[in-house]
Amino acid sequence: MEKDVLILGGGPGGLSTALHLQKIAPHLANRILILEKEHYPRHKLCAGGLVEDAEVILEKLGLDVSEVPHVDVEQIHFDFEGNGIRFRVPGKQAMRVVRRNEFDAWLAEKTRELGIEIREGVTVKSVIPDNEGVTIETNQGDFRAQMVVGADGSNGITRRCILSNEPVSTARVLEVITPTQPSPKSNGFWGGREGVAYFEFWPVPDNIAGYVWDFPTQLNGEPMRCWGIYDTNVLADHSRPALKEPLAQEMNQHGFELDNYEIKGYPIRWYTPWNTASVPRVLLVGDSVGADPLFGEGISIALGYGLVAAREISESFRRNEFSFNGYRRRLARSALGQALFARWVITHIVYTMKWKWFQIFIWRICKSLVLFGARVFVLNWGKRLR
Amino acid sequence: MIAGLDGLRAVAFLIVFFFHTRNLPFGWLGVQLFFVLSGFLITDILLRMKERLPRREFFIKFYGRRFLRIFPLYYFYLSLVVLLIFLLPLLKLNALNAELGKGFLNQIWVAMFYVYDFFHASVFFERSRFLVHLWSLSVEEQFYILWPLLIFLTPRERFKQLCFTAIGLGFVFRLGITLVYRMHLFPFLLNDPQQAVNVLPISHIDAFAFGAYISRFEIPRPRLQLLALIIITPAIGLLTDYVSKGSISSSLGYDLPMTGLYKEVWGYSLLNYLFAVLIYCVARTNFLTTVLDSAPFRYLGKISYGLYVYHYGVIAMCFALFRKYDLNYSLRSPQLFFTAMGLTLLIATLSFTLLEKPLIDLKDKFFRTGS
Repeated sequence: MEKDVLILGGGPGGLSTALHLQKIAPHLANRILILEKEHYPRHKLCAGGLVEDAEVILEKLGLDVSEVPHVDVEQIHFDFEGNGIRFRVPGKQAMRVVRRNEFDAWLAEKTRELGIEIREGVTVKSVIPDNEGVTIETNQGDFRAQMVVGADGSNGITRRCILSNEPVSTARVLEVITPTQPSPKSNGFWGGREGVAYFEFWPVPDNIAGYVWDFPTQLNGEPMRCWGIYDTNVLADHSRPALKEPLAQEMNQHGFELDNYEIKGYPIRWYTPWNTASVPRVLLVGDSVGADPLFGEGISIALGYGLVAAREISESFRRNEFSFNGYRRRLARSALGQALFARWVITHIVYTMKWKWFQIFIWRICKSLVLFGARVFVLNWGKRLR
Repeated sequence: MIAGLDGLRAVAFLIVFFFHTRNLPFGWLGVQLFFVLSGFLITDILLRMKERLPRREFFIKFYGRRFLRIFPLYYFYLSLVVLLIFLLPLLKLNALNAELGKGFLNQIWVAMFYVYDFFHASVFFERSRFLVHLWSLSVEEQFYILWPLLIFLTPRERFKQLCFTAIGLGFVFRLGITLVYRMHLFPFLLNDPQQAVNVLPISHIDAFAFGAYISRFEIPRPRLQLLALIIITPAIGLLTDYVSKGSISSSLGYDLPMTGLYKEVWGYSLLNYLFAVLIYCVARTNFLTTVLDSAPFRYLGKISYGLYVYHYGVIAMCFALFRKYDLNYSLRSPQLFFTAMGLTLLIATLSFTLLEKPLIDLKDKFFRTGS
């Protein structure tokens, strides 16, 4: 089976690459094939927070994310021990929370509507680039392509095949979905928490370089809460408690018992300017290059990678040259790369200065400065991405 | 005329030409050198005129001279571009046909009023192969309006303060611009803060002020400073590039627009300082004047205004002509470089002899400054 562009992974990164490629270089659209390991709608571990940048990018593609079942978050709290910054977007929701099985299936459907082929249930076993193209061995036979886009996530096969020895920075995440009430009897406690998402930084002084979160979400239309803990591992050389303890402690404060629910864990590879993003004939996008280190945000980032990769790919086909030498630089110079770099710098400030007074200083005293910094450095990059 | 400065103009043009033919990634710095050089020369002229001429004549003579030097060539070029609108379809240059959309005519209006820089910094901007380079001339002309007023109003003993203030303000303005653009405060702002900083006139007020400063004041150990800056500037560029992008490139960290670690704010301060020291070394210590004051460089410098105005369109035309005859030379190929360079030289020479020279003579006749 011969195609020009083979995209491995049907998540936001891969689908966005295909969608942008279809827009930038329409003549390539019927020469793209996306391989997805599972069948849609497939489960994916992810808190599912969609910030405005994701919506901006989807809007530019002519897509309206409100078609997907979602929960609007009116307000986001960035707290240290229960007190801190309240973030709102005037006239809009601050964030939407989607379930990834529904979101990815929706995006895949939109991609198919544009005539791009997606094959489900194909497991990639190895990716072997050579001078003429790339050979991909799968459980459904071998594929051959001019080039491959590795969009298969933090621990994807593409990266493992082409860059087996690269040191990587990986964050640890635990996630739990619970009902909105600890038990049917306890009412009232959750009043006012429906539309609020919480980021709580109290574990930072205990050497957890991250936060505990608590989002509203929904499962088959039923309102639920999504809890979790995120640790960038930048303090990995210090002694620290296991991730489960602080999460259990946080949930306990609100009357939930962690052991009653199913815990799921996953790694997130995060961006540093030195992460390798390509080898000749193979480009990486999304988490396989690196997600946002500051919050572990990956969806909007992956959608952004898609645009940068699509530009690189369309130029490569124009020049008929697939070394992708300039890809990492293109990425770093894009609005996405600039935001990721800023987040990478901020990560090393916020999470390594683990003294309690410093955390109180950031989240409680410098509120407006932090919000201003967030608007300039961390957010709004979607509008600038071209 | 100070020996070597025409040669510097030639160098500035040449590196811009290399940049526009994709042969020198940091060649856009030539424009920055032009700005500092303008600050140097214009301030020198203005201060002399202020000392010698009666108040009434100060403005008339300055603006009269600028008017005769700048406008004829500029509007001649714009009329050539208007002519192209009718000619291009006849020439069947497919590579340029997309140029002639509805926006193209609007762009000529923008260029006509010398506000291309503001247009470039707005969301309405679209790249044009004939007009984009005019943003820097807009910046220059806007400086020519503002600076004589400031020189006129500033007492002699306050001149140093004026320069220092403007140098500081350049940095502050760039910071302000980048923050405003990053926050998307207004819907009409270009979605590229770094590019906006690069083209807006107030970002470059310190370039002119650096030039102004060295036109009247001395700087200590200029050659040692120049040596240090020639080492430090690329070193800082490469280091910041490596830290923010994970790799280094032949642009030495000075891509257009500059990105990474807020380089668009502080980078220009460093570059303007470098160019000010360079100009000072050439003008005051005869640095490299054997080369820069040689006949070819002097000549190129003399016609540099024309070279700059014509070269951009000539490159685009050459590229399109090659494409028409199926010669697939890339923009950076030597074939295109030499063809475009030859044509630019020819056109600029003709334009200088037939159009500019008579007017330069005229300006000395009508607006003699006595110097």
